[in-house]
Amino acid sequence: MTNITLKDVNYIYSPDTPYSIHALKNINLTIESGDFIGVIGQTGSGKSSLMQIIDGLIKPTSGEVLLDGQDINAKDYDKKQLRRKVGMVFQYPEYQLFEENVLKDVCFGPKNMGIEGKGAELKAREALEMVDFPEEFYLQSPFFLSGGQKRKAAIAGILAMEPDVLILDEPTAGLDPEGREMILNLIKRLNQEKNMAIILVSHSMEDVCAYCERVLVMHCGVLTMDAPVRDVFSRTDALRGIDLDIPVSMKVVTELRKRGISVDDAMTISEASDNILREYRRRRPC
Amino acid sequence: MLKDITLGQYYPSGSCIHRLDPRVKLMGTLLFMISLFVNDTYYGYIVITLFYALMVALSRVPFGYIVKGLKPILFIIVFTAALNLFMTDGDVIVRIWKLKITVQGVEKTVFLCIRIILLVLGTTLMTLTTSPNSLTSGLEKGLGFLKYIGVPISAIAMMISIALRFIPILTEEMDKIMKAQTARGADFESGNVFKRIYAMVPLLVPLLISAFRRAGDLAMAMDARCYSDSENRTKLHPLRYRRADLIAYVILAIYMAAVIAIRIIL
Repeated sequence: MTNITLKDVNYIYSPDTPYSIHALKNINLTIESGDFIGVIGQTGSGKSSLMQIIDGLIKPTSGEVLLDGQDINAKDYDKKQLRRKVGMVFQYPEYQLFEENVLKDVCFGPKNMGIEGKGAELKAREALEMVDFPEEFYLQSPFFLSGGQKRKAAIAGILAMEPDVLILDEPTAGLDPEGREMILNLIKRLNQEKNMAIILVSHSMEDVCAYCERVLVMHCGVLTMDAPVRDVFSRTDALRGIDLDIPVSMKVVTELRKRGISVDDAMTISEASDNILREYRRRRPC
Repeated sequence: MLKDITLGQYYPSGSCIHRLDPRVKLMGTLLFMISLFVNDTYYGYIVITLFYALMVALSRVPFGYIVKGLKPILFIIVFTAALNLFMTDGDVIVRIWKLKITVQGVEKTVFLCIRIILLVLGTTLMTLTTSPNSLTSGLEKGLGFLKYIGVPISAIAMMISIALRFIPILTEEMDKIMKAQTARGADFESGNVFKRIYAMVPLLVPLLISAFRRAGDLAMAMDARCYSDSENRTKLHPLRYRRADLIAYVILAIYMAAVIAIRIIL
């Protein structure tokens, strides 16, 4: 079981200059194995900074980040331990590919963890299989792949390190609908089968609604909501107040309610259609 | 680590110095540098330092910020100072082993140090008060006459402004790639020189690719808007002298005259 705890975390970019920005304000947060967390908020609300704090890539200006009770920013802390447990897929992860072939690139992570030769390759092959990467491209240069394949290869590069917590910063940005669904289903599978904690940063309310169980809402560096997905998306006005939208399914439901038709909350389109049908049948018994 | 790179370290304070035409500031910096070499007395330095202090006060840039500009050339200052201190012949004050310090040596050293420090501080004040873009347009307009002898000055100015624009973009990109590879367990800080150079490969390959990609995109975007440097391009904010600029030129002229007068008289 892995547990990440943030205590009163503050982060200020370029402090003591005219450009200083208070990016994170007093964040308190706990993440546990098996969590499936969505993070929403406008551009510049501090989502990415929060993710980088969790992965130890930037040091909080004040406050603590604890991984299994140990402060990851302590001087004597071995960061390799953190890297093994927490994996992060950046936005457009394909831009970090660099090796001459896909297999070698996916090996980069495990090799950095000190796994040599065959062992690293084994983990790489496993990860590539997990993301359904076609085997005939294993020895291809990553730069000649299609966009979706590149993304898969890059995500495999993180999965090969077998993290317990996986952070994904808009993993579906710039992909076609098929690619989006493939990536999201993969994430869901990792969460269910491997009990991996998932933190998904996304601008798509539909995706967050359909896949996540818990939602963090960021606004101007403040964690304004941390609640189960249904609770967050039923607070329509609060979300609209910070310029966030609600998913289409919830829009339909609230619109119907305004007209006096009581339909239950729905997180996905299919759930919405079920709820509406149920209400329809109840009203017209035949 | 990457935030140490401050090229074009513009410090916006909206002072009257900031609002001056960039050509005035370029000319002013040039004249200031010339005045440093024209001057050969301590009295001259008093005038120069007072003038500089006045400019700093007018610019409303914190002095600590300006002094930071000296850090990279600290070594050069110490090196020249040491050379001049020990290598000048004259009346010996102290003798340490084979090295000797002379009166003339001390004098020369102090002189040179003041000169180098003021030289750097002067140019630093210019870059702090002028945004890179207005600096380029100042250069373009100020050196515009060169196009009559076949120098493609507007193309050069465009190249400079693109290069300046790309510095923060590529720094940011580098930062992102570095973090991404760190998240994959890459280590850039330990090991010997060769190991460290080899550790740069996962950074440089993606950075190069992204630079080429961006260059291609930008070229296409410029092409799509029919960019060409052969026409006489107009500007959104053309540089035009205002009264303050003329006053600044007069002040500069008086300053220059004062420095030259001190040299001739004393």
